[in-house]
Amino acid sequence: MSERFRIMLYLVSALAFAAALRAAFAGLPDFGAYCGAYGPLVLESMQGMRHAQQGVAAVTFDYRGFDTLGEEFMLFAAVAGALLLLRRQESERFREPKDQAGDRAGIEPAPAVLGLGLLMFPFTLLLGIYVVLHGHLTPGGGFQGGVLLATAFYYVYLSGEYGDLLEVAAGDTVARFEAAGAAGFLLVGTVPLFTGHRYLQNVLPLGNMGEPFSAGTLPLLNCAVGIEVTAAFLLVISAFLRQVLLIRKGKHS
Amino acid sequence: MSVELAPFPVLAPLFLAAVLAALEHITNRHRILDLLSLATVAAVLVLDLLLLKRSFSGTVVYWFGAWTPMQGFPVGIAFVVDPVAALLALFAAFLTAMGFLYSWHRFKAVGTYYHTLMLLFLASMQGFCLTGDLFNMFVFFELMGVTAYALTGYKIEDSGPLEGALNFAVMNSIGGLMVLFGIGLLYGITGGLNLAWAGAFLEGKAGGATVAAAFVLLSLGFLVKGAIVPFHFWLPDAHAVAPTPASVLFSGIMVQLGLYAVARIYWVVFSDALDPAPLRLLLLSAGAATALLGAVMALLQRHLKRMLAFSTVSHSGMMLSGIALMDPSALAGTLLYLVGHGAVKGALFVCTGIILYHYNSVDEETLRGKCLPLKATGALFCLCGVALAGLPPFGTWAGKGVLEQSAGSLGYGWLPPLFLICSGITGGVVLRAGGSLFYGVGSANFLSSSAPSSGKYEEPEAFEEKGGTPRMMLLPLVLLVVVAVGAGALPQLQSSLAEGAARLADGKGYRATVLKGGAYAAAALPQPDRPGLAMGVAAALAAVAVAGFFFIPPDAVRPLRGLRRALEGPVALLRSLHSGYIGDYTAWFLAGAAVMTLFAIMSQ
Repeated sequence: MSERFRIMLYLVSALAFAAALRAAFAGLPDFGAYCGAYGPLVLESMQGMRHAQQGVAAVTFDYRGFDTLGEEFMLFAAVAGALLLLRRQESERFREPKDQAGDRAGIEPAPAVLGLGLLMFPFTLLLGIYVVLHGHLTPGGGFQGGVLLATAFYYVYLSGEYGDLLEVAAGDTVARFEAAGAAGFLLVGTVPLFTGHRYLQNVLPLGNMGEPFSAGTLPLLNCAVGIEVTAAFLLVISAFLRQVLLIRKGKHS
Repeated sequence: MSVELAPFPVLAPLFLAAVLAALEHITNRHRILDLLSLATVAAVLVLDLLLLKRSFSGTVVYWFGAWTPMQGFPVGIAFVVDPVAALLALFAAFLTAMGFLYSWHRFKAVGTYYHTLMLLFLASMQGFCLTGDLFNMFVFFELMGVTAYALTGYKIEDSGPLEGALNFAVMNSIGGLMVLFGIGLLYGITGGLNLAWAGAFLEGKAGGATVAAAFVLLSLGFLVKGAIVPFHFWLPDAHAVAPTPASVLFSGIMVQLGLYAVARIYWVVFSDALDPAPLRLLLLSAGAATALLGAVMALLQRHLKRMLAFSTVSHSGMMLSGIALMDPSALAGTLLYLVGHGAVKGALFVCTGIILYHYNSVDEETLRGKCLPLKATGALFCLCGVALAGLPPFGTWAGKGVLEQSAGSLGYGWLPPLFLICSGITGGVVLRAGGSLFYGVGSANFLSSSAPSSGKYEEPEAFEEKGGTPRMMLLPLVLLVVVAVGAGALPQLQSSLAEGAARLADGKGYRATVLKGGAYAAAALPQPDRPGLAMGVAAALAAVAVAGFFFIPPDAVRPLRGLRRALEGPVALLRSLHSGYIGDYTAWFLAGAAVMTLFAIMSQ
């Protein structure tokens, strides 16, 4: 197909499709005019039935927790897929990274970068842990907190210690943590089955609303997701770094 | 109280996928990973069988987290297991088992998350079949996609797999986006995500543009997965390069699950809100175009896996035509055809895998006459060729026969001849390849020998050993052929599917079972007629004739030269349409999407 024809086809179709969507959206309720039953039902029931004060977390991890299980495994699958695609080929080999500048003995990060990295690492770690643990109380949760936790380790890389990061992340420990996080969510859901309840039923003590240990399984599920997400992002960054820094074509040394 | 089985077909493979991902770092013993995977699939097979049995006595509704409807509104997620859902899940598990048998021990699969991804793929298909919730369906649709993209790019040594995986990922992500748009529209109108709720909300109301657009947008996404023209371009790029076990699953069930989703959402949600006549026209024309284009494109290939991939496009079009008739008995025929086709196509991909294992090539021209030693594989390959065309007693014959009968009685008398042409061509191409590979018949023909993608040299996917074909590669091949025969030969499957299709097509009954509880009262159905033999035999003969045409030496007959000149232009045009450029594919997608959406909106 010629460039010109493709662009014309695209533009004409895009216009027609946009017109169709516009006609379709016109039949929706007006902005702000919510007429569904879902919102009110969740807001009315979540405090009494679950001692949960945050609707988003209650829907994500309780009312529709099974969706979240699927989404957690989607990340798991994406990471497994990325590792599959970024693996070392048979024709490739690992080589120690070399400083391209050549006039330095080793790789030394600038003091400002190193200092900032050292400063940011613990605080980001702490914030991540806070966001995971308070996922059922305030906006945030396992997915967001997990990304923050992984970011803390990215600071290690940014401050020039990528060797340390690779050592931490490329080892088996992180992969096991990831699997444990994914399986953990699934297993928390199976606990109620032993007492004759439904999968993912929230049968743990509900505690007092607003406290860290409340809303039953919500904090547990958030922790499992947090572990999974942290490990997942560490695995991905280490796979990318390995691909860029260490893996070379095998033919010539 | 008996244990509810419904969630376990999803949970078991998900859990084992996580366990195997961790195990892969501890042990590099292939055998342990193989054994655990196969055991998991076997467990899922048993679970699906039990669910299927249970579903015949009443639809199984399982509310996760015990969130049963609150004041009549479903706040949670439900699995709704009716016979068709359970049967498709069972078939997906069966094909996964065949994939694992094929890859037993010899597959280059250590340190690659192969087992993990295959199990995740299985789990996603199970969830997709069993769920009764639109958003949950979308979650499993995406999970299916993510694992499938990775599996497609499995052989990273070549550039083809990565390009195929990229095209697959981009097109299916666009499809996913359409599904999400559709979900948004439907949620905006009905306020719920449960299929039964949305259907009950719309029941009896005037459809209108928004509802029609919701149906079309949802369908667009699923039709991308179903490889319907003009959304089919990704499929040959991806199926041709995926490792054999993945190809078996992609062509055997994944594509068809897209079509199943269209049928499911139509009957449960939209059947009592939209005027069926224009939708029937829309889907039927897309299906017929797909069937024809796929068949013609299959003729033009010399790369075996690409040829099989286009054949899948063609058969997917035939199945969409069956669904598009929007009639329970046509649906029953389509489902039977799905099983028959999946088993035959799976067997053909396993054959190709065996050829690849021995010769590191999947090219018809390079391999001409070279595969003579593979006697059993060759015989089965050719048998599958006539089976694909629909020779009795294969499942393809029975399914197509039922479908053709109902098409005739609904006034679509042109469908059976169309099916005859497409089956004849797609079966004939397989026979052509089988004849040239295993028996050395024929010579480079003017249609396929010039194909740009040849598959002359392919990276091996398994460790080769001395001696003949490993028994563990032949085993799935034989099992698949047995199932393909069984699907057609056993009248029980036909009558079960007739009941299953009737229940799928009973939107009101489905909604009542999910929302109000209570057992599904199945109306007693008369024993369906067995399809006639004539059309099946005719299709098989047509396939033989197509293959025979290509075995004529190219310069022996004068008119052939004229034909060759006449076809040069159209062949070049068709080839250039399937360019492999994702920009082209996106433009075609948008064109198809615009036409379908506008048509649906204006006709409602």
